[in-house]
Amino acid sequence: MACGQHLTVPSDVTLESRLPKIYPDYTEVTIPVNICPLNFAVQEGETDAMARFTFPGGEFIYGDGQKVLIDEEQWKEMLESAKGKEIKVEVFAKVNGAWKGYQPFNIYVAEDSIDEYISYRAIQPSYVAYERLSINQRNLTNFDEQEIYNNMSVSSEKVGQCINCHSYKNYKTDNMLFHMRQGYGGTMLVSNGELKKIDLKTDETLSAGVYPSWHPTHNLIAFSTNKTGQSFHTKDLNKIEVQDTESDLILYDVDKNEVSIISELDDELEVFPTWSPDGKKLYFCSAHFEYYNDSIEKSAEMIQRYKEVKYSLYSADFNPDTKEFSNVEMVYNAADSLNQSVTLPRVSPDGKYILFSQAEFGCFHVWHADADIYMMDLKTKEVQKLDAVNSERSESYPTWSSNGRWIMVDSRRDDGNYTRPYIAYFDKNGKAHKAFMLPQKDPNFYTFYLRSFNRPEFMVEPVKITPQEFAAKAKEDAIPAKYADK
Amino acid sequence: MSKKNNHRRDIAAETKKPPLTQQKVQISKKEKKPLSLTTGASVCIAIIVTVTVAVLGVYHLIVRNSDMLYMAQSKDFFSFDSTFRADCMHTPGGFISWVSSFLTQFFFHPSLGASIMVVIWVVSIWLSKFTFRVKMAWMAVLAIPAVCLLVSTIDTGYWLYYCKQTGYWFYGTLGYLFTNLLVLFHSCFKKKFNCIFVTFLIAVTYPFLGWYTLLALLYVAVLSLCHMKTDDSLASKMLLPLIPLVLIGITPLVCYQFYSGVRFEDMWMAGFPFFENDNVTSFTPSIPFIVLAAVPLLFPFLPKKVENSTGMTWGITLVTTAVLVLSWLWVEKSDFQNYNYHAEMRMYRAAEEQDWDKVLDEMSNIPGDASREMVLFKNIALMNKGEMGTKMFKYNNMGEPPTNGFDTLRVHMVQTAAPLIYYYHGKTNFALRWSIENSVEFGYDYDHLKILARCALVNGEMEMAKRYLNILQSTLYYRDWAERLMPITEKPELIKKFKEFDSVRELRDHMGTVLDGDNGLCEMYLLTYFSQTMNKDSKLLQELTLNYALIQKDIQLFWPRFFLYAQMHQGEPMPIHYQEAAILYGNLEPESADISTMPFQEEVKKSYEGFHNMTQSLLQAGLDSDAIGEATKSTYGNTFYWFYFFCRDVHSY
Repeated sequence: MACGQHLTVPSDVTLESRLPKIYPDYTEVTIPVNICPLNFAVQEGETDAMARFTFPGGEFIYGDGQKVLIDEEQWKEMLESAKGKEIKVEVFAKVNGAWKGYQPFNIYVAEDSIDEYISYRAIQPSYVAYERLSINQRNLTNFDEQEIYNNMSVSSEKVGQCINCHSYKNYKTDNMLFHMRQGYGGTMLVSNGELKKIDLKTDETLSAGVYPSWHPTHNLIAFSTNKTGQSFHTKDLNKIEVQDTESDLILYDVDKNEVSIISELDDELEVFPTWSPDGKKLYFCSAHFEYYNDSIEKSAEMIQRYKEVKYSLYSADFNPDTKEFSNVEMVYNAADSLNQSVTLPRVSPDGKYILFSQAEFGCFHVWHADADIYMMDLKTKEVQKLDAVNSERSESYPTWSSNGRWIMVDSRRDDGNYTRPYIAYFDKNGKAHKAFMLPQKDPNFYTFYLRSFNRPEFMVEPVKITPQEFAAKAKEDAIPAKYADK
Repeated sequence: MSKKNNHRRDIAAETKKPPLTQQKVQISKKEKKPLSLTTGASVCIAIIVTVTVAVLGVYHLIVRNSDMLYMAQSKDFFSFDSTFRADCMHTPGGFISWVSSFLTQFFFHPSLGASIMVVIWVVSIWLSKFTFRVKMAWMAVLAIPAVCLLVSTIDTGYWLYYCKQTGYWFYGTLGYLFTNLLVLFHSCFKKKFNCIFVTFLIAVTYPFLGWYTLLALLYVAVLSLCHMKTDDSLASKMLLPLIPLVLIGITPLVCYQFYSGVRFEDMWMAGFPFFENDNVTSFTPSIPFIVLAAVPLLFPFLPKKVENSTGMTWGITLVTTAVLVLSWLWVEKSDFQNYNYHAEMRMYRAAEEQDWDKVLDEMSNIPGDASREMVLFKNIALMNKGEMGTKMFKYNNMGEPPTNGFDTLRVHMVQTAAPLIYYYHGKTNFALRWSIENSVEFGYDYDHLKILARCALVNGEMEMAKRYLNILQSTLYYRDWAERLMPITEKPELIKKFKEFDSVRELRDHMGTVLDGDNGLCEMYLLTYFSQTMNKDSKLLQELTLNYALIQKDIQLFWPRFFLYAQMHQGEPMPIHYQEAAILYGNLEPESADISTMPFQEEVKKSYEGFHNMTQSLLQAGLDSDAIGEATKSTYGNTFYWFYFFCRDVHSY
């Protein structure tokens, strides 16, 4: 069986009064008008299945064994025709030689489009070892995917390299960055299309820049600096704790190649800076943590007291012209009031909301099954858990599309181990709709793909610098950043 | 046509005299034309060589390395899934990786996989005869690449665990086969233009065959030089060998733009196996591949005409004999026949299949000291048989770190057997961790996927288990294994019906959880963790903690666990090793516990007294500690007190 009009729905069908089991679960989801086909596998029966898609302009039937593979051109036709409406999907499966029909479901087509690209780091859910890592970009309107950078383009057995934390200014790629650690370490920074390799570590700062956020209007980047450690649960299914024994915030002036301190308070672990859309506020997370055991190393004490580390959400006013920070205030007291820990804040493009990940403790919520996505209305300060986006497993790294209508989160709901990007519609009334998994051409792709989609970010355009150009630059010496005293 | 007519025509031809000048030429040709070595002799040589290579292959692969081949396939992976195919094609030569992984899975039945391999070698030898237009009499020389491939299969030693080339085991074999096919294809074309066109076609295979495409181009260049005729134009004399050489230079250069995950400088050697890690580069295992590539360069220069002269006959006989003898010597020398290396693999398989008697049989048969990995598997087997307290010290507990001998590769247990060892200790999180760490570094394989699936099942992470089982279901030889366990993912309570999980579940369920780390030292971690754990809810876990306290030789750790054991096993006989430890510790540190009222078996008491007296008298005789250990080993080597005093300098790794 293949696609399209040649198939006919079997006439002798026993109807089931329940939704079909399909993977990924696309039942009752709201999708962008420009998304690629939502191919899925029917997990009913053993051999054949098909699905009838009914939309205002007609109907199409697809089936390929147990897979429903939708023709891309016909899918575009369906989306255009169902814009602002829904597509009705009826699934049929052959079970023990007889056809069964299941309760139909709808796919709602929003009038809003989604940014054409996302990028993510493809990484095994690794602990310490690393080998092949890449930052990939995926076109959401089709299934095209390319590598932006692959560490194996410079790594050798003697000189391995880890890459992390890609970031873009205003969803565009002429100003972007990612870090490289170990061999050929440094920050790959694209400024107005020009590629540079910078060493952000100075004698006065804890580390090189780690978690970044590009200022929306000026050529500035806020980073955290972190001393990070990792330890392993002997039995707990969270398996890993990643902790910062120390962390501060720094500001990097791209034009001047200068690093200055934003915050380096003793007993405070400041991390995850993110700018408001107007660039006049910097939001960040901070945990108050006092070391009181001088007889052991900080990392050892942190391991003993890891559950005590709880982050709250703060903001600081910022004057982009003077680069002065002032008026630090607590925005959400998760640590003391709720005994919770918030991380990874991201402000909506209209500045009305802030998303973050919240769990019982710690800063690395991708390994915390209880981590969920919450949203604060910045005007009313009201916080709500986004049930439509969350699952029983870890949700972390929330981010907004450039038009603010789509939320993307990293979720481990599939199996608790591999993070996958889930996209949810966020309507004009501030309501999040059921999230759907990033569609793939082969619906069984995720079964065999043993890597996580780490730190998914929206982009409105692809990265134009080739992986080979990045590789050539990576081999050059990094330009050391200067330290600018306040 | 009758014979008569034929004869008459021949006579007519003979009587028709050519012009004088032609006559001279013919006479001269007739005089110089050598008589070829009889076809029968050539065929004989070819058959002898082919059979010898096949016998060598079968003997060394099947008879001597079956255990290694089984392990090799378990450290590989193949699936028809597009993700795996795409992963393979991520580097030049990916097609060979893909086909090679497909064939490697047949080592699940080592005889089957080895037979396929040997058949490909034989085919390659004969192909190269036609490719390079070599006379059968030189078959021994043609067989050298096959010998290289045999050596490359059996000489890896512990690199088996550190090999990162997907489908390494058949990679060279297939690479050489494809190289021959490409060159043969090229040789089918006689017209210059066609030859050039085909040369370009060969270059196009680079993404699929990697370095073997470049090798084929090199052979094409050499053959073009050899087949050059004096009346060829200068242009064709230049172009035919030059084009493939230029293509060797520029093909990887052009293709680099399509590979984001390969170093620029590696493009010319993509698919050539290098044996290196962060602390050692080993040249030895790469030698066969260098010889494999170099020897065919000589093929076009082998004499095309084989005279039936005594000299030539002797020459060919000598070359054939020398090649065969040297090949045999090389194969013998390269065959990594370290006893522990093979025994570890057999033990690992037996442990993986929970054939505990076989694990113990292997341990009993070790001629020298075992490796630490083997000691741990021995203990796991005894634990599962409930015999740790009675037999743990009856085996050789000395352990040496594995070495290759030919290089300084440092073998770490976390990369060879730790995931399975952790699993059987109920440390499923650590087993998962090292399975993933190793998969990240060396690629996912059947072995690690099985451990990951088992751990996920024991942990109750059913969706994760389902993912790994789904992947294994897509494979040829692990489908049944996965299908058997799949029902547990739907009904978790079914796991209780699978006895194979019982001890792991019991240990895991009764352990606490802490934040921890093993610093890459599996045995040291287990030793510390279990010897310091106290548990009174599980007999299995409690006894394990007692045994690790014994291995730690720590008196303070021993007594509380000993008394707890006695309390939890009231009415049961006290295992002999625990009695031995109690007697020893009670005598060494009488203040640590009062053993006067303990009901020790008479033979244990006598044994200890005998040991004590013997060591004292040897000490008084002036023997040093090592000598006393040796002297008492035959009588007391199976006791805890001998282990306590004389099992030392054990290097965990």
